Amino acid sequence: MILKEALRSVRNDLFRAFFFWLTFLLTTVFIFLFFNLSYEIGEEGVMTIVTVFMVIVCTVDIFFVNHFYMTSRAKDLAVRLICGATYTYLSFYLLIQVIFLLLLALPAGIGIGCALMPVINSLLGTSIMITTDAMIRIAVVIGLIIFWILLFNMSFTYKSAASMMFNMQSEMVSGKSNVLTLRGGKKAEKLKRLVLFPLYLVPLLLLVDPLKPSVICTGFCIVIFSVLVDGAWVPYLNDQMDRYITDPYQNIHIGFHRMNVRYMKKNILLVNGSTLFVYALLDQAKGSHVFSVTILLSCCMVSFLMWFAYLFQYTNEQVRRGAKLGTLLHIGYTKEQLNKILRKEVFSIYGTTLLFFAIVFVPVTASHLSRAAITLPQLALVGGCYLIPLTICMVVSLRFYNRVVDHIKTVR
Amino acid sequence: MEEKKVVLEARNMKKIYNYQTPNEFEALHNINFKVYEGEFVGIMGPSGSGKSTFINNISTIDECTGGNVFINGKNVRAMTANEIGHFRYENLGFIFQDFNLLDTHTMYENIAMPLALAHVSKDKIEARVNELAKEMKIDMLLKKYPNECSGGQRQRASICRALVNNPRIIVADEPTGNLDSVNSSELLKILQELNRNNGVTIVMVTHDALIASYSSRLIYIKDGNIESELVKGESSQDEYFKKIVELNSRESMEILTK
Ligand SMILES: Nc1ncnc2c1ncn2[C@@H]1O[C@H](COP(=O)(O)OP(=O)(O)OP(=O)(O)O)[C@@H](O)[C@H]1O
Ligand SMILES: [Mg+2]
Repeated sequence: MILKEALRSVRNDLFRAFFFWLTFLLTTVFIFLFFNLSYEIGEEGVMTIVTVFMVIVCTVDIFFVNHFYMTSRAKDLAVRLICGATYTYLSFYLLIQVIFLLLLALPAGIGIGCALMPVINSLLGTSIMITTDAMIRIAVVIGLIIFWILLFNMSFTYKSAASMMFNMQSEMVSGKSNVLTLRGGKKAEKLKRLVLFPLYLVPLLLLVDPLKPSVICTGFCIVIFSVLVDGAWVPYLNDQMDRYITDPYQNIHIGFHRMNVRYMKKNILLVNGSTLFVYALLDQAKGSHVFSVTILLSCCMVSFLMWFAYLFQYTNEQVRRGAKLGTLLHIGYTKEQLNKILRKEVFSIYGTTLLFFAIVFVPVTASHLSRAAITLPQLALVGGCYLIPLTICMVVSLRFYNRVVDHIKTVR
Repeated sequence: MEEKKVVLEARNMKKIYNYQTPNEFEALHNINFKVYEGEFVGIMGPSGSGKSTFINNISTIDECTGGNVFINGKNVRAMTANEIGHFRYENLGFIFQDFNLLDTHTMYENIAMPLALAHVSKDKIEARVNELAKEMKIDMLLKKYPNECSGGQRQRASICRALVNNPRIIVADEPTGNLDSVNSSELLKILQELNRNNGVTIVMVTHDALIASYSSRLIYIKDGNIESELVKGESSQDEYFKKIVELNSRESMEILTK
């Protein structure tokens, strides 16, 4: 009975279920590859950090896709709760869905991992074997991640009031700096901005000193970026809005972009921060081939996984916004104009993400090259592993918006 | 009625939801109706009778399945997407049943949207938005985002947005649905003033007989048909109100005795 209902719920939203499954699959493959590689190197210094970092990244990624999946279930759960379903019932209802998807993904993921191992060996000229020791670690890590998700989902039903779940799909980011500054305090705002933007660039100067590891400067950039968004970027967009309030395209676009920046801040940080962080570690290889290969592969994996999480978060926002887009048509925008605004919005958010990535990536790369820590094909690999998922996600977002606009029921 | 200009006209207007699918549903059956310039038309009827469908279709918000709709004598089907867009931001103010404000924009930015489309200057936008917001008592909330405001406040913001470009036609779907009686009568006074002094045409759906009594003509929709019609004519608002109540209770009685 409950089993049937849970499985029906999976079937009703195959799109999200598929992405959930796919993320599990990829994460499993990545964990599998990473631990087999890192086992070869053994646990020493930097590698421990990387290992811990990879586990965190995988967990965060799964959390995002889990959240993406849950928001679509939230209303369903709220209705059941109000109709008298018990928490135990709801927990099981969710557990069955998640476990079902997991069971479908795990064996496939490990299978793909095993199949990829010889390919990697022949590509890199290594001879890494799949050992039982590495397998045990993999099992432990995957087990831990699953445990955390299940715990998270249980508490999700347990502590959420029905009203919260009702509103979940329309949840909003609320921050301190979200109030539009139309007038007043403008000078102080401008000053803050003048200080904050260059501050983002300052840590890059550290790279000039060949003794400092790139990681430190990257770390600085990541921290400053998170301050920069609320402290300077959103206020800057508020100013732009004030300036372009008379422009029917710009004012819609800026408003959308401003919301995206706030809503996607975490994800921009994650995708850029974690990719750059791992990438910056490359100059710690000190001649070890397997080490630098592992770092490079980790870097690519992290980028892929985080772009996935990025896409989920953005799609959530698109879904939420889609419900309101009809209004713009009713006010007097045409579908064509609306499409143009939305296209620009997608380009803007992906573009800004890329920009903030590039600002750090370029100097770090220069530093790596000067220390001969990276070869050109390796550089191409890292660049590709950032740009390809970016492009894929962007295309998906564009297509998704097209679909949303097509489905708005209005005259033309 | 003397030779007055027809602003909106429906000829054999028919609306079928889920057209050509197994669960087709005909929400409006061959409606013929004219709205004259300067009229204040009230629309009443049971829930699900097709009131929203009716005003959406007659005001370009939705496209009817059969028949034709004319705006100022022009067939909507013959209009281009650009022309319809123009018509919407130049002539039409639409107050929705469910506010429809963008969560991505502040209340101020939401209200200013139609003005930007009409290429109004920044100073004028500011003056106009502030003036209206004061009238609707949301001037303190202009910097907030819609989801930080109450339902009634959002409703008032969406009213401001509908009125901001001085539309010649106002279409309102239960505009007082989320307002208390003070705010409701405030809104009705504004609408009545616009109607009397500026000759704005108003079409308004309501469930409240008292609010309907502000209209100059009332139609009662039932099961997708215009069941009956009342004209205020020379009668006082009080008498008109009583007639409306009577009409409503007569219709309700019919359901009882069925
Ligand atoms: N998008 C839709 N798809 C299918 N059927 C619809 C759709 N919208 C409305 N209907 C149906 O058309 C009929 C008329 O709906 P409409 O929204 O016009 O009613 P209403 O008179 O405005 O009711 P209320 O007073 O509750 O707002 C209803 O029976 C409704 O179920
Ligand atoms: Mg309605």
